[in-house]
Amino acid sequence: MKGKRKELNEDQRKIEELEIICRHLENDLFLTRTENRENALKYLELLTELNMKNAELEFLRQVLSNKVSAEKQENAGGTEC
Amino acid sequence: MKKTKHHASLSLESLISKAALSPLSSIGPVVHKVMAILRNPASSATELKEMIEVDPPLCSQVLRRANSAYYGIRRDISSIQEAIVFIGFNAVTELALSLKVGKIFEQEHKVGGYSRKALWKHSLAVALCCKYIYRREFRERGDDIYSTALLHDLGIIAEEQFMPNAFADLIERCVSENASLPKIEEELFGYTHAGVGQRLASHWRLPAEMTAAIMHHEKPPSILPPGAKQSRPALTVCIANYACIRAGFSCCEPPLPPVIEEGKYEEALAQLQIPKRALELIITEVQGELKQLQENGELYL
Repeated sequence: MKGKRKELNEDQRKIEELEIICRHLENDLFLTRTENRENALKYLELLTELNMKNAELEFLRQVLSNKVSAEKQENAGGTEC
Repeated sequence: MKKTKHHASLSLESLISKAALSPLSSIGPVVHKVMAILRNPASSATELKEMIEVDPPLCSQVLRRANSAYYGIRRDISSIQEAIVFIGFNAVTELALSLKVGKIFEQEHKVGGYSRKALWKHSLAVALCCKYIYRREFRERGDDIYSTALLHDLGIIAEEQFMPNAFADLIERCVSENASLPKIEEELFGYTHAGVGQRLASHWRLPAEMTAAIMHHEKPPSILPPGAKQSRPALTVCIANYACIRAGFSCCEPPLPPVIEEGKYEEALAQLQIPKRALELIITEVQGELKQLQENGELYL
């Protein structure tokens, strides 16, 4: 009888512990999901910033490329004369 | 009773002025910025990136940590932007804060049984413990609580750096009398490290709950109404501090006794509605995490 009661108490203790772990994991999962959603938004924000920078660099490249072509043409014209 | 001659200590005002003019004060603006970013739900990843990038040593440390085995990312992280994407906004913020605060513990300093590195380990253990209590018990992110707990023993660093001889006397007496740090501090200096920490935090204009939690980390704040929301950070830091010392995370060897007794600790736990076993499980997890950091060589800078 004593042994059985001890076993029951031990089981009860284990159940309580597992309930705590389960509650902790539930709470952590809830917060992690929220954070992941927020991180996805931050990722999009960074992506937009990088795309804008790419567009700016592309524009700059185009301007420089045009300048080089114009200079080349000017130089070619000068040599022909 | 045997009378021992003690080295003169600084007044609280002089200690705060000295600390405010030292490299110790450089963490103030960083903590302030990190808190502003964390407290504002609309804060952007760009703000965080810019804050880290203006500090090149911090930037390289964050990248080194982000690439470490601890986070287990399979690709190379070469920019703060990538770190934010791969390890998360909050993790990068926490990392930046830990690295900046950890800088003041970088040089080992041992006196009596006290060790500066052991104090860093204790601060980190309390910070992790508080974070888990907030996340797992209160279902709250607890962004502020991590910073608060990391800085809760700032007063000890100030005492140890700016009045080393008086601090050596303090440790010697605490160890020989097996007395708590605040008890002997009151006798020798007329103030405690909690008070010094609070004054420094106020000087940096950190939020009021944060300074209150630093002030009350050794003793539960009885002046606050029980269960009041504003007493939660202070109570959390207090029980985490107690539990971590009991688990062996102390700045002294042998560990100095905590200020509160077991009964008061249980009362504080009941006030926060945290089962004792839940905190024991959290402490086990903190022990595991610190062990992993130590094994990876990432516990100390």
